[in-house]
Amino acid sequence: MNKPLNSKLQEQHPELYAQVSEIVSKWGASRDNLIAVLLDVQSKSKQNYLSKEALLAVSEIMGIIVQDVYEVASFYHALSTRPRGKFLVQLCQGTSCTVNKVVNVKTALEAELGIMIGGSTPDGLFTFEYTPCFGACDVSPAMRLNGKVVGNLTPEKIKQIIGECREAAENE
Amino acid sequence: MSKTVSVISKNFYTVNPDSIDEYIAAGGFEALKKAVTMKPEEIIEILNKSDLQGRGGAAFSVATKWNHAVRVPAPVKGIMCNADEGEPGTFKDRSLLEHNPFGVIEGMIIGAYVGGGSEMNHARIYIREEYTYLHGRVRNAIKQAEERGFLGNNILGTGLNIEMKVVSGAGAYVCGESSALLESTEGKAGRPRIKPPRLNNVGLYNLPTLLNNVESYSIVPILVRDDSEYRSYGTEKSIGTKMISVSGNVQKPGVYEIPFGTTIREVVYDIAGGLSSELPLKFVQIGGASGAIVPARELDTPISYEGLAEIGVAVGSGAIVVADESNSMLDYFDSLAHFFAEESCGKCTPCREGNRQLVKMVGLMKSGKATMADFDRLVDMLGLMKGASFCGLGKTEPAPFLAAIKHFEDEVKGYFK
Ligand SMILES: Cc1cc2nc3c(=O)[nH]c(=O)nc-3n(C[C@H](O)[C@H](O)[C@H](O)COP(=O)(O)O)c2cc1C
Ligand code: SF4
Ligand code: FES
Repeated sequence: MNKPLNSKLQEQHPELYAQVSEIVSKWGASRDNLIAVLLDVQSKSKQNYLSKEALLAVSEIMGIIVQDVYEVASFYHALSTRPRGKFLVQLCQGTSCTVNKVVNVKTALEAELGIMIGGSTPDGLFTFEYTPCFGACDVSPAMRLNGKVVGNLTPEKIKQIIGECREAAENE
Repeated sequence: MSKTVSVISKNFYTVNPDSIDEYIAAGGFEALKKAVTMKPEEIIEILNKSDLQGRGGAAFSVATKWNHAVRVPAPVKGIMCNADEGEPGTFKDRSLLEHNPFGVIEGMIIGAYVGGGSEMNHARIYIREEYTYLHGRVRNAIKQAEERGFLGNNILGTGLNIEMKVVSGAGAYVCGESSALLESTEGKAGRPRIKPPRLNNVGLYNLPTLLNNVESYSIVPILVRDDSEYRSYGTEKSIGTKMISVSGNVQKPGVYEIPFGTTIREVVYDIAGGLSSELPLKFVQIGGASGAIVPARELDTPISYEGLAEIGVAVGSGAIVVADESNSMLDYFDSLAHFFAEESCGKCTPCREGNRQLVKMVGLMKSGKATMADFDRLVDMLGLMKGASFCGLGKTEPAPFLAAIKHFEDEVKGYFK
């Protein structure tokens, strides 16, 4: 344990603390499980990210100094230290997607969402990110929607998919 | 006649990838059973006879690497499989994990038998986060192999011990680089280590480590069991077959297995069904984002180590991205520059700053304000990155830019005034 003497994290965020403890005990507290733990902790977050408190909890519970935890959390594309929308739209702009005119899909997404790539919608519903090639070039142009590959995109298909997301959110 | 073959991909769609029984019924683990009756040197000799080159991109002889492993004895070793597959345009390892996970595992066990230690060896399959949907399948395959005694303690009574796990990446292309892969597996940010020491001496958890690509391991059991079919394909200098991923402006993008020596033209027109538009082909990029750009007039080049070398190209990961005449070099540069700028780990100056400059340069080219002095600066910078970068990412990145400048000089120079 690497718990600072005067840490009140556990008292202040008991739920988060318990959740992280459970994830750490599933994977094990050794350093090589840090990335797996962070991915799991993030997946439990409603805003799809690693909050400062979550990083501190991981640090305390795994006994890894928080600077190291933060370094890892900020290094990888799949981990985010900033809140993200309920729907994470990651558009590939790799070579194969580029030759299949992903630019039209990007324009359609920006129009449909009303934000530029790199931003989030004010209602917190969507985050639209760039992502490097994720190996779905056979169905390019492609994006990941909350991690799932959606390929052979066209501007029409974008309209439909985003509409479905909005509907799903409304019906919740 | 079909121009594709199925040697490495023999089990695709015919063997249930979630069932070890089906794999065994199709001859699975026969190679391992045969291997444990042989001396490590004899197995290495089999690999050497087919001149098996690593399929992750660097084309380093597998036999040579395994021979090193034998010469660095240690009680515990690392056995790693690189399933990071981040090279844009590449998705052949995805299909190998998806359709033949037991083949990859069997190859790794043979690797551990040849180059592992006597105590519990750490075997890790590092699979990129983007392939999360495959993690479960591979974990299931590992579990079944454990239940049958192909993993764990005293495998097949040989005294070989292996503990195998799947490790997830978290989205970082540079983690495909061998030493960055180890850093990431150890739970750190994936920045490359300085070499030497090479990882066959000091690798995972500072143990001597054997690292190969998914496809490389998949080929091992095929060769050990009976290499005659594999060896019946290919050219004199490039024996056997290769998994390729074809994408871009083609009718039938996908993963195909071809004999070495198949020409680029045959791949594009006979295998991938030709172009998806009415436009003529402009260029293909071979081997991923850091692979060279090949203009249409060189389409009759055979895909083999020696054939591609003649035009200054490497087989690389086996990616073939096809672009028709609707694609400008500027858009392609834009895609490449952004990719590398995102993926540079920032450890060394030539790559970190070079990539920032490259992105700026592309912006300048787009604005129409770039001058010939900028062009000279671009060429200088690419040379610097190639020569002074710390790891393979920055060193190989200039290749497509330089090839484009060479083959499409007028077009590229047209972006500079
Ligand atoms: C930036 C960079 C990315 C790489 N990405 C991969 C990859 O995704 N998969 C892979 O197998 N090898 C990749 N490599 C090559 C590995 O460093 C290494 O050579 C390979 O995994 C060794 O296996 P092999 O000899 O069987 O090919 C990459 C190299 C560099 C420099
Ligand atoms: S070349 Fe340098 S900055 Fe670029 S990825 Fe390699 S180590 Fe990192
Ligand atoms: S280039 Fe977009 S998924 Fe590969």
